[in-house]
Amino acid sequence: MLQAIQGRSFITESLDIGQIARDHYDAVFRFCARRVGADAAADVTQETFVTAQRALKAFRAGSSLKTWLLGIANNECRRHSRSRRRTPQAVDLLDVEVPNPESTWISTSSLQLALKRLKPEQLEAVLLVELDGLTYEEAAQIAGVPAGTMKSRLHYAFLNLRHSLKGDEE
Amino acid sequence: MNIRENLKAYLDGELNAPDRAEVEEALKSDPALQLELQQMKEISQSLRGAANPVNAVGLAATLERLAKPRTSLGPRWLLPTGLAATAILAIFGAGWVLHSNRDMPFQEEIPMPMANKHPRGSVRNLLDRKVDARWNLAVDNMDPWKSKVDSLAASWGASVIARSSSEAGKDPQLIYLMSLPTSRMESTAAKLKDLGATQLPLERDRTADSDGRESLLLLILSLRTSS
Repeated sequence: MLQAIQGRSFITESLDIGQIARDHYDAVFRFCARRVGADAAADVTQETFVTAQRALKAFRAGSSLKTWLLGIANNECRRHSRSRRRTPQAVDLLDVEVPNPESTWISTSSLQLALKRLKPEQLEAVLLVELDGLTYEEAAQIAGVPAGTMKSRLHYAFLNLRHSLKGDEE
Repeated sequence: MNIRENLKAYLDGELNAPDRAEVEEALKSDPALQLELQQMKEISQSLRGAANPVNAVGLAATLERLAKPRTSLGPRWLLPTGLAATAILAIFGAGWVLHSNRDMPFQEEIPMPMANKHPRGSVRNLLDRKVDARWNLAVDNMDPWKSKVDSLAASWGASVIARSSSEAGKDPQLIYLMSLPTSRMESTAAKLKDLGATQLPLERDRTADSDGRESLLLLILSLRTSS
């Protein structure tokens, strides 16, 4: 009971959209930039918070505010990409100038190329877990699939990345 | 479950204890599996290390937009209410108004006084109310009264959200759902009383726009057709 009351209190305090935007703007912006590009990210991020403001009453106590916002951002990015006929693959996710000191067989440019060869759902899984830093459960919620499916997509994504990179190496 | 299919989840710390133990046991005796794990780790590190840096911009503009009133017609919360009212008016008409006879000639002056016998209530009440589907939904045949009410609404600074009408009954009625600045609500109510209209002020004083607070008004004008 105490937990429920505390949870409710937390949610009530959190339902100030201005504060929510201040707390989560950077994370949502980065999420959007990786999907629609840095140039369009500000507009899509703003739409995300406007949509969140409208839907705030639908936010349920006990849910993760971050996951809820990124779910909205994901929809806004898809809407934007559909309108511009742009896919996430068109966004340069990596800085090819950055060398990887940990590995001699992976160049950033070959990794960028390998990412572009992934199926869209596998690339989405890599984005959510590797670059957005989400857990499988959070990533699955945002993608709208079971956690087991997210795990499987990541497995095959990494299998394909390894094959692409080893092929490039040879 | 194939051990290899769990390798990435193992790397990410996403396996439960039994599956994790199974992978660790297999790794001890399988150099190929160890190499695969190491390569996955390096790919993951490369991805995270080379991710394009992103500097977030636009927070101030977003906060400014979030702070603005969200509608020109009225508050956004009114929209579903208005749409609900529109739907109820458009689909069913309001159930408590009069019945029958569309060919009855209207009196030239509008609207003539009628007894105010309709209950006050909210749009929610309207939705809950049983309605009569025999209503004429069109307002096109309600001219010149429709044009006159439109013109009056414009002079009050009101925005018409929905119109409907009753063809049934002895005295046809025009039904309007409109929003208008709350500051004009009292003077408008006085004018309506003079005109003899039944008016139901709904959901007042709930928000503000650049002109001040907005109110929602459901207006029922009873048109006397006989003296």
